[in-house]
Amino acid sequence: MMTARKQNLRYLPFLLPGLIGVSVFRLLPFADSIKRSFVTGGGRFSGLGNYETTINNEAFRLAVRNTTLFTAVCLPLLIGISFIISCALCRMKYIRLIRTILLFPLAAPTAALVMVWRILFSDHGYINGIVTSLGGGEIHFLTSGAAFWVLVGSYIWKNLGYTVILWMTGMAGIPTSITEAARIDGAREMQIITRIIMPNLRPTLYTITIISFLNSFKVFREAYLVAGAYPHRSIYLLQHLFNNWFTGLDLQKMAAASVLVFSVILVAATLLRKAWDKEEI
Amino acid sequence: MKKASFITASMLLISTLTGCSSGAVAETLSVRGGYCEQEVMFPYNSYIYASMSDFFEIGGEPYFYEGETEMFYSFNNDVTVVEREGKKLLAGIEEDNSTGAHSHNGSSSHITGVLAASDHAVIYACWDNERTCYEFRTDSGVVRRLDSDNLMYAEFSKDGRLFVADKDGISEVSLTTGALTPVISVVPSACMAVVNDLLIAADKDNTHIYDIKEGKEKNVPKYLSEFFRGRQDETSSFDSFQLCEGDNGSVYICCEDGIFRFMPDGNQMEQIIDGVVNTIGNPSFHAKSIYRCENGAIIVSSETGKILKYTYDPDMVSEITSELKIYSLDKNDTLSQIVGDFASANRNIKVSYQYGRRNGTSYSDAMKEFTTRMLSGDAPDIIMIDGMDIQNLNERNMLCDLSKYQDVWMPEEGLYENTALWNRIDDKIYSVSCKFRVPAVAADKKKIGSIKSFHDLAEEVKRIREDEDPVYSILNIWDPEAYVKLGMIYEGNELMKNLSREKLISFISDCETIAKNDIDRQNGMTIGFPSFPIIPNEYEFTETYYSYLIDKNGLAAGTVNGFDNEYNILLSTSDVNQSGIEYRLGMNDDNRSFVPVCSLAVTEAGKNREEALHFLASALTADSQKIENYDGFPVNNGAYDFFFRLYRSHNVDLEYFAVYSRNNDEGDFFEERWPNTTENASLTKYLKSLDEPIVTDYVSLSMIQEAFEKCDTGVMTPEQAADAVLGQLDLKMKE
Repeated sequence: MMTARKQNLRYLPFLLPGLIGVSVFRLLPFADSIKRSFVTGGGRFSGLGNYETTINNEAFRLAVRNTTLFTAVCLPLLIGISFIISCALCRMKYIRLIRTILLFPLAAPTAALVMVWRILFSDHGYINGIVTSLGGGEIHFLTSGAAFWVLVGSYIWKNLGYTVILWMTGMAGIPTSITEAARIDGAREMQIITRIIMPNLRPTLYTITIISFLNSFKVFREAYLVAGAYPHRSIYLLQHLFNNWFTGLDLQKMAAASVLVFSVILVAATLLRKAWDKEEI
Repeated sequence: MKKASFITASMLLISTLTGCSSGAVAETLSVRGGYCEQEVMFPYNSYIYASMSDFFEIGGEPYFYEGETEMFYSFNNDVTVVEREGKKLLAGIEEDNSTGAHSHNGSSSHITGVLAASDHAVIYACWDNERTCYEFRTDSGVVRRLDSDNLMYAEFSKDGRLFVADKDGISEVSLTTGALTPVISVVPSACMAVVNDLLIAADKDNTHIYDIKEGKEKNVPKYLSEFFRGRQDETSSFDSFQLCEGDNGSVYICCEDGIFRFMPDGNQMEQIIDGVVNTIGNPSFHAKSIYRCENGAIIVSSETGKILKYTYDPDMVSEITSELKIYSLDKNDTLSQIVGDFASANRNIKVSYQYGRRNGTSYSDAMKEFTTRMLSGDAPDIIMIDGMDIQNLNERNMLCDLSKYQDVWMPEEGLYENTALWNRIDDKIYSVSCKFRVPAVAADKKKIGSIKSFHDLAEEVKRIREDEDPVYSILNIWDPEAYVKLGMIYEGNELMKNLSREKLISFISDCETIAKNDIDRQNGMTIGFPSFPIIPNEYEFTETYYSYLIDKNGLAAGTVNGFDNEYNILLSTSDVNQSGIEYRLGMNDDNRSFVPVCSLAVTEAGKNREEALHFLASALTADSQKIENYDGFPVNNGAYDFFFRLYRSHNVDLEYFAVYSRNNDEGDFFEERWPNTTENASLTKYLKSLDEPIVTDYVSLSMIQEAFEKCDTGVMTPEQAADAVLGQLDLKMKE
């Protein structure tokens, strides 16, 4: 009879390639970052000096504030809007066609999207053309506080379709017998959604939250291509700072900041996981 | 046990990623066989043989014609010394025994240059009725004038057929009638040569091969067309490639990258001489012609009259004992020159020079690549810090303190310390500049006293446009970005020292004023003209200045970039100055600013510090500093002695410059002269007093340029542009 340990070892060859890849391309560079976060540019041990410098850095604080605000605004908006849309769509015909259309924004190349943005939102763009033709004043969408909301809009537009599909996949997993039984028992649509669908979608919510949270960092590409390395203060995100520190050879601060950000994300993900596990029990 | 193994394995893995090797010497690599470089002696008294012809073969021997002395030259038996050719070359063109000059029987015109010659004919340019025309003469005494007034190339084939190229394309010339028969309708801007019955011509985009025996075009191998397309230097005014017949039916091509060999029916290009480690790769060399001698030696002439000979030595052993890595953000001619000289003098060192912003790479991407190199243990030993954030490099301890090694790199003759060692903090020297430019301004002598700032300059441009509206660009600036760069030369230090909203608004408004008024709005920039050679717009001063010697309302701004064709022209123009234009070094009388050029630093992370310091020493020698690339005055005291001696030793070989009105056809000539003793003393005193380096990092400059562009196109007001820049600079400072 094969022991449990031997059984586990049988899976090892399948896990090894992935494990090696993650170790070489993720864990080891991160280990190097941890090392660098404790030394000076000359290689001398500096204790928590780099962390202190990073936390006191005004640009870092601004970037953390903006990134947190962006995530705090985008995540509930995206999750809420996509849930409503998926509830409305799940009963429609031609669902396959709709799914395909919903994935279009995700497939569009970032460079093309950025060009469309510029056409729409630049000072001499399409929207300003309409605004000024109606007698209004020019709005500096990309060089004022409005840039934040443009970025929020872009994030939601790009990720909405994908998130809707995730919700719809989750909904498809709920047995129709339960909802039909509820209807026969006289439950209203809102009650079905709040009492049956939503509780059954908790695992999907967890997945969507994590994916949307990670995707919120990817919006940097659009922000960078539209406004460059030094955009308006309101859309100056952590990735701008990391990018500029890397360009400026400011590796110690960058290492300390990346360890800090990683720690925060790790704690947030663990807490979310624990909270979900608790509710499952 | 498990824990210990895990920790050990982790440490091993991490050490491979983060470990730094301190080994200075690369593994020795031994290569047998190679070409030795030797300069061919030119034992005749002349300073610059700029009018030397290409090489041509007569009786199986190489010859060339030199227009300044109007003589034909050949070489001694082992091609080590140039000899004046005394024998009759062709019937009708003979040397005068008393003067050595060549008379030209049978024609009233005067030979100004020989384009090509063969055993039986010679084609030359001549001056007749105040215009250049082209004639050929055969050994039977037939003289014919060509129906073309602007020949670019002329080449004889082995069997004596003559092919010429002009603005209409390539034609064959009938040696009987002089008639032109079109062959290929391409204007060969990159090269044209007849080699082994093949006419090879290339323009910017395409390469053509014409079989002159079969009378038809052949397919061009892909590797050949890609070779020409990938190596054309659009900024150079010289031909990019020289071709000649090689060994065993092959063709040799000479360009800045070296000498290459290919077989017309082959499928690959082979490099036989590397431009990086030989003089032909130096940017100031500009190969003019190449010829392979019967004994296998290759001779290459330059535009300035230097002739190099390359001889293959099968026993030559090149041992690569170490490697020196050099990096700059942009390609720099001075640095290329120094790299070439150092590499050819130190063949045991593998010198690799890389620059970041190639093929359209952005500053940000170039810097990321640079950072990656530093992180991956591939740090360059020497970096040229021009355009980089120098303060940041100093603060991050990336640069080595050179003051500790002064005995290695400080030249015997000493340096202009203020300008060479400007990057000195607390007695630590972080970089040494090889050259420096001096800001200057020129205007009508009644006005120049009132131009003391960038704002005054902008107002003067506006006044000239409003009062006179000349049909040309007043400052001769072609690139709108150069307005900001020009402003930064004059006001950059003051602007960035105490940056305020008001100052930034004023600066951007001045750039806008110049941009709006500099160009003739009706004719655009078409009346402007580029400098020769190409000098970045914001530094171009002298050429604009002397273009105003005849016209009124002259205004020039930029920098003086050395002696030859720069400072000596400023000195030489007083006798033809009809317009009353005057120049002044510095933006105002108290101004002591300069633009450091090619500032070299040794990196802390580099692995070959010893050779890096020797490289620095090589860059600062008087010999190296004498070479001018129109990129600034030298910093070596000895190099000044060389330029000042030219006044006494070369006053017989004066260069002449033509000055033409930009309004009409009026023109005049003036002689270029070098500074005399009084002028030397005055210039030296001034240059030694310069103590305010103008150093602008690329990021700040591009922020202001971007804002100005929006302002110039009407998207933003100067106030909004200033706010945008301030916001960006604020973020940058906080980082």
